[in-house]
Amino acid sequence: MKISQKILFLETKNFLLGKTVLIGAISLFLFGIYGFYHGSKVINRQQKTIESVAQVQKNHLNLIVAHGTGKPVGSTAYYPFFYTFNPASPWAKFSIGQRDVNPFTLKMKMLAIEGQLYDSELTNPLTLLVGNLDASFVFIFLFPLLIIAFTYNAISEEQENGVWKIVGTSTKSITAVIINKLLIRLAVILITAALIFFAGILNMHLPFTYPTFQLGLVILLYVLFWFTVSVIVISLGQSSSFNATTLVSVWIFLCILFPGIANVTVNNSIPVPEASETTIKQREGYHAKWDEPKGPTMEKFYAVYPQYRKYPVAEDKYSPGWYYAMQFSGDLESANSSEKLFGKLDQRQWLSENIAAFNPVVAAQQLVNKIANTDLSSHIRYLQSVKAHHRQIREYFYPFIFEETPTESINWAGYPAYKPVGYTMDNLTGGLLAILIWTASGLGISIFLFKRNFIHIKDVQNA
Amino acid sequence: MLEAKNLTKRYGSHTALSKLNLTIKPGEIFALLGQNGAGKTTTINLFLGFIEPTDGSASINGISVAEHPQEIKQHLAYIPETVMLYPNLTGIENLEYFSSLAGFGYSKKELGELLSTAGLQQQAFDQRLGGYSKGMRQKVGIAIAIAKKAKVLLLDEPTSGLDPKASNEFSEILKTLAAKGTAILMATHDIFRAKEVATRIGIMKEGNLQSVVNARDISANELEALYLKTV
Repeated sequence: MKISQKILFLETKNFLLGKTVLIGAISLFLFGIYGFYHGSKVINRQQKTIESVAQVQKNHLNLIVAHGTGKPVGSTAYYPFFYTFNPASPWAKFSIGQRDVNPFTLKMKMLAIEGQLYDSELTNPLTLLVGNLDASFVFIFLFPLLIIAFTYNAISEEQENGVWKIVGTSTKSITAVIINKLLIRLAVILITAALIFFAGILNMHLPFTYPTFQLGLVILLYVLFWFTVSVIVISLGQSSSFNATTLVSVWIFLCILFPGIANVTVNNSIPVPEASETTIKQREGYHAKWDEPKGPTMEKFYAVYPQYRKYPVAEDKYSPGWYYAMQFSGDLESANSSEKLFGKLDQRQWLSENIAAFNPVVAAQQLVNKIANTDLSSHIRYLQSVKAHHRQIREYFYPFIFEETPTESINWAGYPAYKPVGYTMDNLTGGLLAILIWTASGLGISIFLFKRNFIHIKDVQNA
Repeated sequence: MLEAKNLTKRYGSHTALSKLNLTIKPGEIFALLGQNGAGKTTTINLFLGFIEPTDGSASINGISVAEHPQEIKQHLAYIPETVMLYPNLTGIENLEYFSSLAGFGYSKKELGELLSTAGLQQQAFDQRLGGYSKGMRQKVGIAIAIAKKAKVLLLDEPTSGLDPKASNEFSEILKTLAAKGTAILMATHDIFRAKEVATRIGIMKEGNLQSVVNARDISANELEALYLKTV
């Protein structure tokens, strides 16, 4: 089963000079270039906004303090926003993921936090519908089409125009010829993928660190998976039109129908009404307090912050300490719904990852989003950090509020600085294993089919 | 040498070839005549090992095709009705590719000589096959067969669609190959070409070899009359 270098060279030349090869590779490369540009544009715009946050915060606080001079802190503290941000990882340019849907900056007041977590800027729904043509889109959705274009007629075209019979009578090993043809196509596909990937690394300034190699590994496995899908269809021994139709149908199912069905399944299986429920409970929690005696509200607050018991809160007049304690109790009353909400979001993520085990397309998309830190888990980590920061701010200002310190007497910028969530390296084993298992199984099936349909004599009329 | 013993091929209730007994010796050109569906291509496919016989056996140089489908391919060459090789490669590259597949490593000079022997003009050697006429492609097919040094040549309507000059050239090459000891089996619709080039002619109908005549013993008109009477 030996193939000489001469055969390899001529076979490669014949393939590369085919009409579809150059057009396909150039088209995908151009899509790739646009994907790099689009990803960089979206993330750079976000980063620019994030970079302006510090100055905006400073100016905003200066204005608030100037306005509140002469008034107690408790009165002024109602107005300022405190800004948080979720910086993009360098790999977010490769895969924007949910960063265009979820807010990447959140400003919050010292009031009850829960309702503020789910505020976000209005997003153009048309843009969301169209989605992002970023590098991950090029690799996950468009690259399989190139693989299909390069492979669907690898053998069938030769069978249809009669070359295969001459090949069959010329070679001592038809197995070697088949392997040769497939490996040449695989090599061209891998080189094309590598060129686009490296162009992306350079264009988007991705660092040569572990996550970049992880991205490369996911792309490699994903390309191998789609190549195996093509090889299975080729190994059926049908016509070029059958192969093309079947492969495009598989692409539509795996890339469009399955993810759509999976999304509906996840949403229906784990409904998440708690975002609005949490907001309503929190608002009801403190609005009701206006008509209730202050004592019980304060007791709930003292249970967490007993050090403020020493400050008297009169029942018959407004007290800033009571106002912020009331806001806090709103959060306490919605804590259960909030916990449920985050729990359900985690469950959704878990279910999505399990469903992805049945579809390498979904698995690959999840993996690149994980590596880029642009998935739902990353956003949940950001929301948790906002909650933690909200607590830090409250606890910084509570003493001044209860002491009724004048606004101009305190350092308004002295609260602990917001610490954004750093890059998180998620476990990728499950997703990688899913793609690997599907690829290996596909390879096994195609070997069996090749032996049955090509290696043994076919009992077909006019074969 | 090609030999068929009670060679039979059935597809369900339809018999494509029935109990064919035939021997073609080295240096002999055997032309199979018959209408479409008479069993000519089935016979060739059985000798090529592309399909399995239902009954009987086909052998090449004493080796059973069904039992040694890969081994017999070293002994034969095949030229289909339309030689469609690789259009993106030149004539000489196609010859180099297929001769390498068969295990022969020819130099550029030798490849050129083979193409010349097959009748291809030198200026066409380095042109892409996609721009070749049918006759030129057939010549590359012949060159591939010659390059393989096969002792058996199977041809499935090789002159179909060729102009008279190209057909004549093709016939001359076949005669030269036969003179060198190649056994040739050719399926064709062309009665007059068969009469001119073949040593023996068989007429098939509905899977049966109805009659076999020596080409020298019969005139073209008599052959035509026999053919029309048979089919």
